[in-house]
Amino acid sequence: MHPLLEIFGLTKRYTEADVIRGLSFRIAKGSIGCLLGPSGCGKTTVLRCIAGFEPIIGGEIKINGAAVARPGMHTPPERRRVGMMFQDYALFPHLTVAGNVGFGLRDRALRKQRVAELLATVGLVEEAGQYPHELSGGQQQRVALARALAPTPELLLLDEPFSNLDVDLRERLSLELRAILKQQNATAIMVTHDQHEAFAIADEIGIMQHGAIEQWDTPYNLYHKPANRFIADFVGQGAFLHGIALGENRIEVELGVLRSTNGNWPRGSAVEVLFRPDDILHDDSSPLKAKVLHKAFRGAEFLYTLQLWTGSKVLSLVPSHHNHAIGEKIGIRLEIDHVVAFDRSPATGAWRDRAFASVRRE
Amino acid sequence: MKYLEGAGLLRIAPFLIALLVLVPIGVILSSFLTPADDIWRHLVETTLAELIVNTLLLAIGVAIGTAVLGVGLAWLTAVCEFPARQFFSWALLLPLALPSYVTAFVALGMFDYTGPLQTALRDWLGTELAWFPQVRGARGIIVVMNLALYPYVYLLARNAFNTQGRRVLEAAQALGFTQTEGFFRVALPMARPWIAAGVMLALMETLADFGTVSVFNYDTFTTAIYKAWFGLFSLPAASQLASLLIVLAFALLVIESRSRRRMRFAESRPGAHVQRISLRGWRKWSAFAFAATVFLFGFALPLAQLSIWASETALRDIDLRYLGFVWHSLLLGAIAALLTCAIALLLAYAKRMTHDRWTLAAVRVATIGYALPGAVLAVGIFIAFAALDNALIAFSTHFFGANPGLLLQGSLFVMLIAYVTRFLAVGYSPIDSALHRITRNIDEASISLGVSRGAMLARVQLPMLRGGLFTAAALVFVDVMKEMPITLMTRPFGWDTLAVRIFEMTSEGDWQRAALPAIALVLAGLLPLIHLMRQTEHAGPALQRTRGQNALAGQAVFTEL
Repeated sequence: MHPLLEIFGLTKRYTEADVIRGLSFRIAKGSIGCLLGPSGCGKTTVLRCIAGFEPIIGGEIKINGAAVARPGMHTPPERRRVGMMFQDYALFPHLTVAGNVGFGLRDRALRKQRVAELLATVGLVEEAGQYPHELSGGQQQRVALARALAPTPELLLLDEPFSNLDVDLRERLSLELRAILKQQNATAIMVTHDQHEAFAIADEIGIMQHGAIEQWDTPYNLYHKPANRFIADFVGQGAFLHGIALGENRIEVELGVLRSTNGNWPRGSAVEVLFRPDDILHDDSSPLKAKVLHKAFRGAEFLYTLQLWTGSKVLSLVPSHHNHAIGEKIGIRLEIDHVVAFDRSPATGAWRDRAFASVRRE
Repeated sequence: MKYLEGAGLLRIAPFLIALLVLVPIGVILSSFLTPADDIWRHLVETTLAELIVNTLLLAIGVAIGTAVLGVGLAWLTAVCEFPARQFFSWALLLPLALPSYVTAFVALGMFDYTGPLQTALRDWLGTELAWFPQVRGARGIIVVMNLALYPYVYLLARNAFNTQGRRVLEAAQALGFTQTEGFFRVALPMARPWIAAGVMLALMETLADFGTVSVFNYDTFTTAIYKAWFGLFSLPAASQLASLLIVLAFALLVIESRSRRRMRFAESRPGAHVQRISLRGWRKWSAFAFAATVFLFGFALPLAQLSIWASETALRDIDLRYLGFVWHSLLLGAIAALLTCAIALLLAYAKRMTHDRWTLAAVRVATIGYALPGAVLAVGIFIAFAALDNALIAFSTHFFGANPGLLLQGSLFVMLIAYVTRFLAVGYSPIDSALHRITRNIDEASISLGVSRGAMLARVQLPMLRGGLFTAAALVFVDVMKEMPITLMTRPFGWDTLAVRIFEMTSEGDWQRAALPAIALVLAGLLPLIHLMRQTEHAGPALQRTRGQNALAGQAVFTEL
């Protein structure tokens, strides 16, 4: 089966700072993709190119195998069957909720039924006669979603769908959004800078930086098998420990010798190894000890920042009944399935270099 | 808010000022109840039907015309891209500086039977021009009024299209509608409150208009009021005519304030990337031709013609008497502007301090003068002060045995009261919106820094209000200079102004000699207009940051222009 959306080498230029360079990805029918990246990386621009609001200067966009955009060729947005949910929702203030949802349905006979069905799906049956300004932010978002879904677009684009909502609403609504998209069997691409939203909703995520996709993968792989330093830093939390390759995939770090899962380095190469907070477990019986530098209470757990005997810092997620004081030494144990190492770049933090001076002298 | 508790004066000020508006309205409306005299009966039998038909015809023509011109031009300059769009987007506001009676007499002078165009054509073709459209009459007047008044609709509609942002249009496109369909199904319905408010303002000006219709010798209520008073010397008949006009004015006021209330809901943030619809081929050039034609006939040609006439007559006409007109115009404008700003400031502070329903209602009433035609106000205020004069005389002769004579009637005081009443809203809205920018937090911040109330006023509030006060004063100043019916009807003997001079010259059909005072008015009007346009340009980003109230108020500044 060919993918629903294919993008090859998309190129677009607004200003010097705002550029898309040769971006490519594809997404299968019924799947939810996400472009995740820091603000200003061009992710909304990609969405607008797919929707057809911006002409492109290089590459190609195909929907269902048919090209809709390439240099010199531009199918207007209204003929692409691509729905869009805008960051500010862009609800029509002069129309009721039902009027908004039914706006894109030209067939009168069909309209009533489809509007009723969608309002039931998003739980706004009672608000059908109200105007957008009478609704809460969460309700407005659901109207925007229902409106975009109504004409059953081939592809639905969601631009920062939660940025206008309270933080505590986001998590609940993101699960709801995913459920609705799956129920409607929609193919969707979302854009966000918030990885929690991305993880909660997307099947596949593309991490964007400077107008290009660094890695397109499942949320699990992005977290556990990041392709480069930027992704390892951007997705999730973690600390890097300096290490020395021993050959045959083995890497020595101050916590012991590990077997790298993302490649081999020639013996003696300087590398850095990623440790996620869930890779380091608290274990009173362990001979390895580390000092508590900071702790952040997260409810179910503490996120401890620990200092090893060498001075390096690591993070550890510990169930919150293990309440240790700052300065206390606690036992830790390594439980790491994915050992991800990167070439040590000269720009890495000075404190790590100092701490590891002895190792490097070898 | 103990520190903000003001003097009792501030509490009662709104009610006193509201009374100033209510008394003339009451006087006029009560004339309905007084028994009809012969003159009134004569008017009803002979001209009333014609007056109503004429006024309605004019109103319909202006409503349709300004809506089409205003919305069309606003759409083109706010959303589309065509040659010289940036120039037109501000240049199309310039006709606001031309009083419609000036456009009117220039149009007559240029295009009438004896005008240069028709004369030249006749000479060239050697025949009578049967096909040439009749300039006088309803059609010509409607064209002139539209050219003078479309900027109200243009300004508000452009504001609506700008604040809508392109997002909603994109939303319509993403739902399968073309850009043209999007305009009619989304942009236009969303802009309806703005368009309605703009059309209502244009209609208020139409009802209030005296100068334009008298240039054309076209009888409407305002000219009839003038003739009843100064031709037939029947103040009761004038007042009864005014009472009919006031009912129409109120209808407009109600529609306008409803539209304004609905604007609040229709507001959304403008989008970040503004990709204009770029017009191609014949569309591009017809957009250009449309904007250019309106600009040419609404501003450039009249100004050019005025300059030519004025330069021909200047040497002959500039004398001491002429300097007197200028001096009177400037003096009256300045005094009225100061007075209006002081009262507007009082109102704005009163509203800020007390938020009870009665105060808000009083402020609202105090600022409805802009809907009342000057002719109506002149009659109402004159009658009220005449009654006051008579009461004073009776009181004085009874208690002191001396007759003080007519103290108020025919004094500058009556004229100034009429100006203030009519233009209070013009001065109030910029001051009020400036005051809105001084939030309670700013007050409290300065108090927490240990600043006394007096120092707070001097160091924080006045500097922040300066822009608003200046705008208000400039607008009132220009409006007073342009105002024709109030000046004509209530001026004390010898107080002829530029507007009066224009009226006199045009009623003799001497267009050339009306040009010199007219160009003085136009120049005076251009300065604050350009100041305002630059201000809104600079304030653009700031307005976007603090949308809502400020943006609406900023737009009200222009609206009341």
